[in-house]
Amino acid sequence: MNEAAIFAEDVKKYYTVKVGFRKKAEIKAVDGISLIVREGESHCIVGESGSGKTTVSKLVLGLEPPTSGTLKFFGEDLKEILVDKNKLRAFRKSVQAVFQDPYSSLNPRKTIKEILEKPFKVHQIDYNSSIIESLLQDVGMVPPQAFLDRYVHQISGGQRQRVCIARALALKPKIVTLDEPTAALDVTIKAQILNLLIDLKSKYNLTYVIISHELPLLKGIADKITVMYAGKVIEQGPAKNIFSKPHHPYTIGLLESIPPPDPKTAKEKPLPVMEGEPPSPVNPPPGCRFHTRCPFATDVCRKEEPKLSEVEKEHFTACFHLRNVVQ
Amino acid sequence: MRLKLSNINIKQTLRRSRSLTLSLILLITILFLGTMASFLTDKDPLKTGYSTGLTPPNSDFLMGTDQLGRDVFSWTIYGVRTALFVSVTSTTLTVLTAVLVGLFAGYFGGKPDQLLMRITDFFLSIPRFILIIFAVIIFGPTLLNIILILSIFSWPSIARIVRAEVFTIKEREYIQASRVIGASNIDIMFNEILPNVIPPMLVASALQMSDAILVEAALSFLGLGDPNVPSWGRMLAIARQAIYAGGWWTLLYPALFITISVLAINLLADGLNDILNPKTIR
Amino acid sequence: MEVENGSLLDVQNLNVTYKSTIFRVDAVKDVSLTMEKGECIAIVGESGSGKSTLAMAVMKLLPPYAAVTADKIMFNGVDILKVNDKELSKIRGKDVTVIFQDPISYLNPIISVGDQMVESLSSHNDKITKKEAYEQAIDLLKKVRIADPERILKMYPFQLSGGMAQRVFIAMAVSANPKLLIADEPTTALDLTIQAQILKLLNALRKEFNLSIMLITHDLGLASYIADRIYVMFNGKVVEEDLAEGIFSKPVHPYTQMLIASSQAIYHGRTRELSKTISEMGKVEKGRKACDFADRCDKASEACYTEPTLVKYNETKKVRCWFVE
Repeated sequence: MNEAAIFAEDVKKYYTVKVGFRKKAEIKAVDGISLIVREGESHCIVGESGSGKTTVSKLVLGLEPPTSGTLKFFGEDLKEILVDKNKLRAFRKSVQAVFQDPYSSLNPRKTIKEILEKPFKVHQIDYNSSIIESLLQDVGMVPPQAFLDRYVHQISGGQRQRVCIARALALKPKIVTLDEPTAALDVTIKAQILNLLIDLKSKYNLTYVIISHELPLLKGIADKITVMYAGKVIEQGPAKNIFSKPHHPYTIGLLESIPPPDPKTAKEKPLPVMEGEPPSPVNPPPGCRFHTRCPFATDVCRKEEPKLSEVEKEHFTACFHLRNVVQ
Repeated sequence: MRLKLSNINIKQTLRRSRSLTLSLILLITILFLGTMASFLTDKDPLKTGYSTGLTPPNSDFLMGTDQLGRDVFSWTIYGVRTALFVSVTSTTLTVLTAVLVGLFAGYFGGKPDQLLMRITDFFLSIPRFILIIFAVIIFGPTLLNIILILSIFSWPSIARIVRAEVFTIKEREYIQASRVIGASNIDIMFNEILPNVIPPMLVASALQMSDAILVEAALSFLGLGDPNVPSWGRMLAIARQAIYAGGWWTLLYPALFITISVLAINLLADGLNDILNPKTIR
Repeated sequence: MEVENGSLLDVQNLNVTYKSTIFRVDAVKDVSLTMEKGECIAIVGESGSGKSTLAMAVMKLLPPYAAVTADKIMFNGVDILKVNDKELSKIRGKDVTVIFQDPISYLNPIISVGDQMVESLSSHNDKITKKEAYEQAIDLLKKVRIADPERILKMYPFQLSGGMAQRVFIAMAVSANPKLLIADEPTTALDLTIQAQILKLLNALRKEFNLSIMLITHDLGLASYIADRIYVMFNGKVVEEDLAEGIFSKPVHPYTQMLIASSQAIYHGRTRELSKTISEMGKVEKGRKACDFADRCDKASEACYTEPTLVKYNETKKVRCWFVE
């Protein structure tokens, strides 16, 4: 059987923070999530701030070990990878990242060439200028020679993100995590970068883990979507299903919260508003974490926590009132 | 580790930053006098009896002599060597220590950082000059001791600056990106973070240099300088008696050199601040 | 000072230049705009298009190194170019208010929300007592749909969430019954569901207070939700202006077309269908006097070496392009 690229089972990540003098509190950033990312898939993790999606990306990058639960990459446990120097080296080669802010993810004191040489130097891999140039070519920076000696402040935001992508691809990774890859970019550039990512995925045989809050953007690229709310997965399934037939009231609300860029539809169909704000991850409410904002909430939601259940093939939702909601 | 100055247009920079131009002119003059001292005068600065008693400036003694017949001119220009030697060596030591300690403490945080903070708190809570005086009295007033003592008591405040810089830089995404690539901590500290710490450090080092000149002069003035080298501070102490006999030249010239060199270095710090600000580099 | 006839805001040929010893940037060039009472306009553009500078320049809110020139800035019958600082600050606090992208940094961190609101209310009205001001603050917070105003009033700015802080800020902004609310990217830092709440709130307040809103945004979705008319800016200039419907149903300037095509493609998940011509580089090597958009435009030709002017296209639309049919 083919091993999953990423396999996570009941992964938790708690942070301890100081509150006041000698008092400590636990932030339950990720509170028991499970997901399977198959090779070649692009798996999107959607949620608002405080949902734990950024923590998930740190876990997937192996920058932090999970507090509990199992996290495996191609069948190998992250715990074992982190203690074995050789395994960690190989892991760092095969899992790469593109971050949200292209302005702060490139060292301002380095040239584009130095930035792209770095991965090769770190892993002591032979490289030459044609390899660096072809990387730039692949991310659409032509002619590459024109960019090699430039500093970060001498290129545009879109070009910076292209350089970040090129750096992530340099080591021919298997998995690339993209943390809000287009959030900081202008709308005309957003579309281009998105298309570039789609092209590169097939060209380099990549598996994507995309972290984003911009749901519509994912329509063109996502295979699977995991919707997170306050550290929990509340809905998970094939992207098509999630967009066409979301089951969880939060997912439905999230999808409808986006004003369409068209005054006719915008003014005819007023925004449905989900009242309230996401709960604090230090002190999440008992029961279903969404019950404080949910229009369908009943007593059972306030007391018991709903489990993910399969509503369609491979499509899971955690809600007690699925029938009411869908109607 | 390299600092890229290649994309700074020197002509343009000098025209823009008046303080830099002025400071370079002053510094070059002083350096010239100091390095050429043995060609500019044939008199031994420390030797007494060139004249009998206090002599005002004349063609023989450009800056006059003191009450023991020492030549103020050769004392003053040889004094450049003492002042610059003390300030450059002590600053180098100070900054190297400060950068290393600040880098480690800032990058790793936690216990080492706590330790550094307590040490610096200790140093910063006691007046530094008094500590230096005590240390010089205990260990003896040789040039080497003065340099070491100056460095030991100066690094903590600069290390704090480095630490604060490192603290903000290490949170940037490009540091995370290097970690994802698999770069080691040492690699990240020295190749990614350090180049970004250097510009503020250059400014701090320049200020440290002028401070060292002042401290050395003050020690010598108090009679705690190395008696075997000509120091501006010691000439000032001599001037304390000479001034009553009308020997203004013994006070004026060393004081002028102290002021000019400190001013020049502070202007340099100012100018560096201008040109190293990334917003002004295009 | 009420003027029965005439627009609320009339700006003619506004230019803003940022100057320092080392740089000179023309941020806004030759912009004219008008707003009727109760009207909502959106100024749409990407980062660096000068949209925020424009909005701040109208109320002379820019730092001293920004040189502002204009043929005319009339607000509610007052000539903004001629009034002195004292009168101007009166207009700013009372008739025009501004809300920003990051409200928390505009609130004083060491004073509680309640004290700040009371202080701002008393500054507009000398006769009001502290207790009355407090009552009024509670009322205002209720108006911006805050469920438990008493609790919020006791909090300090850093304890507020982004959405809550923006509500508090909006409450303070509308407290003096302003005529114009300038909203500079008011929801950019907020989550989608919170953005929807704030948008709905702004729309409701607009009716309640008969507000005119000038919305500065990069998001065409927000603009289409709120704005009656839209100004599209590119590189410091207005390239197209029209009623919101007109901008979307018949975009004329290539940049507007590109902007709308990209936004809608992203919204519908159809970026693959976008034509490849949407690029960062175009056919014409841009010269000094050329059209600003020439180097990204697929229609660019010889004519574009000369800069086009903003010309009337129909009743409502003006476009800055040589290729208007």
